[in-house]
Parts: sequence; C-alpha cells; structure tokens
Amino acid sequence: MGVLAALILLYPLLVRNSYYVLVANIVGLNVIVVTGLNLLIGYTGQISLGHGAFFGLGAYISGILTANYGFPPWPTMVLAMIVTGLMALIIGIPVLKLKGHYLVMATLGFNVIVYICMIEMEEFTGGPSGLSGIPNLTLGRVALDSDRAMYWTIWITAFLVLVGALNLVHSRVGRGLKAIHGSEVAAAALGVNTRAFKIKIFVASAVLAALSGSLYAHYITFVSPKTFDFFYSIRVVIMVIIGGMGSIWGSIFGAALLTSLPELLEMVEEYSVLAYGLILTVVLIFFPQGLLPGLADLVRRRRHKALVFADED
Amino acid sequence: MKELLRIETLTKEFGGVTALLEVDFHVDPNEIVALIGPNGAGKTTAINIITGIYRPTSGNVSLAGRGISSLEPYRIAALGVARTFQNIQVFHNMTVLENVMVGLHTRTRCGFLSGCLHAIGHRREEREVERRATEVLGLMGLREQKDLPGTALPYGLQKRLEMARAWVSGPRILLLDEPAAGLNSRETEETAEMIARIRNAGTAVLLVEHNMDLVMGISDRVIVLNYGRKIAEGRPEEVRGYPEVIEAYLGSDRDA
Repeated sequence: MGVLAALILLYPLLVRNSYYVLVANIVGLNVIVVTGLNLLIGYTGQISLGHGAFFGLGAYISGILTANYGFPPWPTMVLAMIVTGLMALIIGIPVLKLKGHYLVMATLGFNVIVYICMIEMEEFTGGPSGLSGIPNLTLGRVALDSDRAMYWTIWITAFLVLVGALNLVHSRVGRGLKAIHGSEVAAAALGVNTRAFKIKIFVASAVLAALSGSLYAHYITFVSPKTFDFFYSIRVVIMVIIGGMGSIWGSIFGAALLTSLPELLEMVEEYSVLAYGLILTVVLIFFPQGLLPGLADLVRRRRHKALVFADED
Repeated sequence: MKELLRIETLTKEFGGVTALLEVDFHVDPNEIVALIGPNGAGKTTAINIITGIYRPTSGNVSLAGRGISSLEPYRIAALGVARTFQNIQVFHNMTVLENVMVGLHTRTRCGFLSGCLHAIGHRREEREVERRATEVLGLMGLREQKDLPGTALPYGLQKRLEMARAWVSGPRILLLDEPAAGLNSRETEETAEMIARIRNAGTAVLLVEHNMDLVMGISDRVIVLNYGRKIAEGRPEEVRGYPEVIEAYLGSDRDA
C-alpha cells in the first residue's frame, strides 16, 4: 500500500508526456466519484444511474458562479457540494423508497432532467456549446494551472476520500450499510435505521461526485453538457462493477482501467470499441466479483495450491 | 411480576383475509412462551407485528407498558426486541463475526462522520464490539467459523448464527421464528440448550415452533393459534390434552 501510494505520488515526475498526466488526472477525478458510488452500490446495494448529474451539478455550480459572477473558487466548491447534497436529499427521500430497476429508472430520469436543464438554461449554462472561462484554482499566489499541479490536488483529494471511505466501511456504519445490502428486513430488525442510512449514503456519494465535478471544472476551465449525460453515469457504474463491488481499492482499478483503456485502444483505431467491449466481457466472465477481489482470490488459490503441492513432496 | 410484552385484541387483515383475530397474550420477564399452531395460523404474522414490520389492523402491542405498534422496526429493536427469521436472513456479504457485530448496532453510537475519521472513541467502541461478538460466538460454538462468509456455514449453523446475532445485544425479549425447522435431533437438542441459556442470561423468549418435543421440553407456557384465533393457553402438559389442540393439529374426523 505504501509502495502504491508512493508510485501514485511520484507518477507525474516519472512520465515526460503531460498527456499521460492528464489521463491520470481524469482517473483521479473518476476515483472520487467511483469511491462514493461504490459505497452506495457495492456496499449498500442501491443502484444509481444518476451520478453523472451530481458530477455535472458540482461542475456547473462551480463554473457558473466563478466564471459569470466572480465567486472565489474554493468556497464556491464547498457551496457546490452543499447545494448538490441538498438536491440529492430532496430526490433521495422519495426515490430511495424504490428498489431494483425502479430506483435505476428514477435516478436515470433525474440525470436526463439535469442534462436538459444544462442545455436549455442557456442564459446561465451557455447551452449546448458549454461554459468557458472558468478560472483555475489557486493556492496562495500559485495558480494550479498545469496538469502536474492539478495532479497533486486531485490525487491528494482522492487519497483522502479513499481513506475516509475505508474507515467508514470498517466501522459500525459500514456494517450497517452492508447489512442493508444483505437483508434489509434483518438490518432493520437489528436496529439499523435503513431509510436514514440509505439517504445519508446517497447524499454522501452525490457530494463526492460534486466535489469531483468542481475540481474538473477548474481543471479543464470549460464544461459542456455532453460530459454529464447518462453515459457518464453508466461508465462510472461499470467502473464500480469492474473494479469490484464492495471493494474500495477496486475503485482505483476500475477507474484506472476504464479511463485509460479507450486511450490505449487508440492504437487499434477502428477496432477500439470492439476491443473495449471484449475486454469488459472477458473481465465479467472470469471475474464476476470484480477485477481486484477476483485477482486477490486467484493469488490466494495459487498460493494454497502451492502449499498443497509442497505438502505432498 | 410485571408483564414484559402484552398483546391486546390484536387483529390483522390482509385484503379480505384475516390472519389474526382479536388475539391476546403476554410474556413475562425471563419466561419462555411458545406460540404454536398449524401452518397459516398467524404465528409469523404476530412476530412481524411485534417487530414493527406490519402495522396491526386493530389492537395493541406494548413493551413494559409502552405502546410500540406504531413504531418503526429499528426503533422497536432499540427498545430491546430481537428476532430471528423463519427463512434465514444471514448477511451473505459479511463474515460470521461481522454478522454478529451488526447485532450490536443498537448498543453503539458511532455515526457517519466519526466513522470516516476513525475517531478515538470510535476505535475503543470497535474493540469492545469485536470482543463481545467473539465472546457470544464462543458461547454459541461458532468461534472457529468466525472468519468464514456467513452463508458458507451449513444450514443448522446459519440458524444458530442468526440466534447469536439477535442475542448479542442482550435484548429484553427474543422472538425465535422456527429455530429448529430443518434441524436434526442433535442440533435440535443443542438449540434447546441455547434457548435455556438465553433465558438464564435474562432474556425472555417467544418461541414459534413446530417441533413439539422442543416446545414441550422448554416452554413455561404454550399459546395455541388456529386460523388467526387463540384456541388454547396453558402449561405444556395441560395444552397437550386439549381436544381443540389435538383437532387443530391432527384434524378432526370431518377433515379426513
């Protein structure tokens, strides 16, 4: 874990091409979203196809207020998280009473509504052509305007989010969330306030998506609706599944693989979509519980087998 | 002695079907009361009403004098009412130990924020939770399996795990929904020992069960339901002889 952290921290110094840093930054932004979503889907068992909207709300609230109204970026980021959290609370209260596909459809519908608002509220959002002129973040007098400067900002944030999530899942609250996934009726019978827990984790995951969205807006300095359509929501859900539902470290894997894969597949040009689909299918067939838990299992079994053979000798 | 659990003129209708009709009974502290009756008699419905999963159509449920029939399940659990399920509800995504640790939810405080921050008070609480859960697993003979996934246990042990999970918090009353269903005779005997031990530790037990040896062996009092009505109540040896009970269980000549 220490090695991994060091490698992640030193990465921008090891690669020359700043394009690779940009890809790593997008990975980091996705890690923040996927970690929150994993708490919701992987741990609590509540599927959302609306997190692209929360990501977009963070980005647009930060973007509009700082670019059009001269708000200071950092406090605005906090404001964006609070406003998005309140939105999540308002829609979460009725929506989380639904289960299964109904919950999926409701969150998907929310995403579509937010997407349409981004396009139609042209006066504020710049409409389909997007909103430009969003300022970079600054730290004291230093402008965080390079890929490398943003790399550390994004990844330190992602790291803090990961640590918080890891602590949470190993706490009383984490067990309560997993219990809801395992059996909602049994969780309630043991005293877990299932409704409040589901709403709280839904809001928390939306706030994390908003945080990522705000960072995205100040990093790219431009936002347009296309980034936040429901395909993004689907992509982050796939990242959760591929990385491993209920595996916080898996979130990094899922985000890294699915963000960088399309870039790597540029090499095979017109076959890239085909290869992308093939890789996802293969992963899901051989590691249905996700890449990271699947690989860990494989290593454990290998070692076990090696021990058995050693005994026979 | 003061009554712990009191059920008064409890009626529950599902659409046009009456599952329970004006049922009264009570459970005293430290008492083992069995609720028996043929399938469809309304036993599980009674448990589901007591634990807040269903709202009664009419009637009252009170715990130590406090009405609980309008409370949500998690609030009722916090007042010291624990239960197991007829169809096993072990958390498949957690280990045996974690399953039991969830049982201490009502006895602990840590919230979302202190969980994320891994606060000092929370760490102490975690150690205590793990110690207590491990202790109960030991008492239930499940300590060696504590790191297995909950659903990796054989059926009989999953039933026992549910009992451990419900008991770990030291509830005032434990509702057991068919704890011996599907168990062999040795496992049933062990279950009887567990139930006796649970009562001796200060928890009253309401037992829904079809296994008459178990019921007659450990109950202080037996309540018989049939088609949603209470048809008999008394000490095990009394109830056994009631003609209504024999008829409900074995059918009358007319049914045959």
